[in-house]
Amino acid sequence: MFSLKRVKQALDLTKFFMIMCFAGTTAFADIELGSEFNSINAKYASGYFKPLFTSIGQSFNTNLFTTAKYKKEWSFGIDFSVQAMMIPSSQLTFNAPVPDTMLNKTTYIYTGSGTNTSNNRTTITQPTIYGGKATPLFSASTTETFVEGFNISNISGIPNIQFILGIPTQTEIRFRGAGFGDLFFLGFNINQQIDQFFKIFGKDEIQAIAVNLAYHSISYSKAFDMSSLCFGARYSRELVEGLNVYGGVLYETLSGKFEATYKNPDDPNFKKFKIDIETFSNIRLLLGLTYRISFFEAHFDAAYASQPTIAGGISFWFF
Amino acid sequence: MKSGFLYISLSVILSIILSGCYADTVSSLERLTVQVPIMIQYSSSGNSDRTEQPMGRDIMDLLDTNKAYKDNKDRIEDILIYQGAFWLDQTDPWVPQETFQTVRFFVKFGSQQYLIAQYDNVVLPEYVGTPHLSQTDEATSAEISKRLLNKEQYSTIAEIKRMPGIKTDFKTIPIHLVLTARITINLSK
Repeated sequence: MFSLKRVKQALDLTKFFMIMCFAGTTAFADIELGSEFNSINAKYASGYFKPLFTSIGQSFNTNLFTTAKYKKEWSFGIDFSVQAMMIPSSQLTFNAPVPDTMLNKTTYIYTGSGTNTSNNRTTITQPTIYGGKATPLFSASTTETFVEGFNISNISGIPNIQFILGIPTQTEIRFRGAGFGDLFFLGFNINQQIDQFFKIFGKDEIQAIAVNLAYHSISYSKAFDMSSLCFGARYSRELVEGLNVYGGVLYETLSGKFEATYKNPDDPNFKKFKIDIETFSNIRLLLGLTYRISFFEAHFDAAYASQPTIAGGISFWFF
Repeated sequence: MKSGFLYISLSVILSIILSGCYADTVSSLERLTVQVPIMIQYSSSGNSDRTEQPMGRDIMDLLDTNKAYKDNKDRIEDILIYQGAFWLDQTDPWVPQETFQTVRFFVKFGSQQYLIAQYDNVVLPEYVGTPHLSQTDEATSAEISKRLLNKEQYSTIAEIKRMPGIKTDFKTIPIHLVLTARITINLSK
């Protein structure tokens, strides 16, 4: 049987996902939403969950590398790294579709300074999963209420435990993976130093340029399946022995599907929803520092993306 | 070597900061707040300058008809009255052309009563089929929530205050009051 508890302890963002998806459920083969989510339909869920999917995608593509300089020899290490993402105010709310029951009606919302009336409201500003209070929508015949956000201004991403293999072609491969029952996670990143091909820095060995290509996939039964592709280029320079500064630009994508059924649907025809997974993040600018002494390496970087990210970790090199 | 210790120390500090973020995230994610509507319909009539009467069904009874509340009853940590809408029934053919000084709604525990919504200068025809909205003070909501969760006895009360000096009869007014409650569910329970 799938052990939800183990996943909760191991992966924070995954825990979030699991709590959200499995709250009040008994069957783990498919995701069932409890009645607290009855106000969410597919269209609404796309906007509500999009910042969360963005966080998951961004955490995939964090801690993919440090310096751009790779030796012409075999190496092997293990890296433990963590990250935190700041949620911008623009991702705390979204333009939610007005429920069908409220279309073509005179509707009212409380704005703090008074009542806002509209005869043809089609959208209403509501909190995303990271936002705060929701705004109830009133009419003389119906009242619609909504699920609120979790009031989160920063979130820790999925922590990475990754194996690193360096090969003499000045290539480095990082591998991440996990599997718990129906949950499956796989990720890898290939880093290649390229400046030597073009003799950009001549015999200067303190500077380097590298490119990377990463792929990540996470799936759970038939319920969700998402994958991310990321590529980028970076420059690094050794400041003092063992200490390198690096910076670069990444382009990343995230796609997939999320499917859930309602445990107690109010409307028997409204039992299931399926949404396409999307992200706010495509471009990421990154600046970092790494220090290696003997078999130990510590690294830290900060990235500007749709959710600005700080990340860091430690690596142990066996050879 | 000195710089080595510096960077190792920095990485330890960073780990502590980031693990703090993890702890904050986990605790934030354990509590989900959903909003549910509570609909109260009743009629009011009177002949004095101040009428106070119970609104009939109580909040907890009405909440019990809501699935999200019912399914999560054992793990609810807060029941905060949030916003309210007050209007008069559109279907009723008769509405007096009167202006009330105030219409106020209270939750009353023993001798202590809490104001949950207040409407001033209520021109009755303007309220026919037109919800007028209000928001309950947060501190008041928190206090009511505590007492509701303590299962203290209470009643919900409507108070109608007429313009000074008016004491003639006013006939039955069909009142709609919808309150929205913010219910916080502890998902880890």
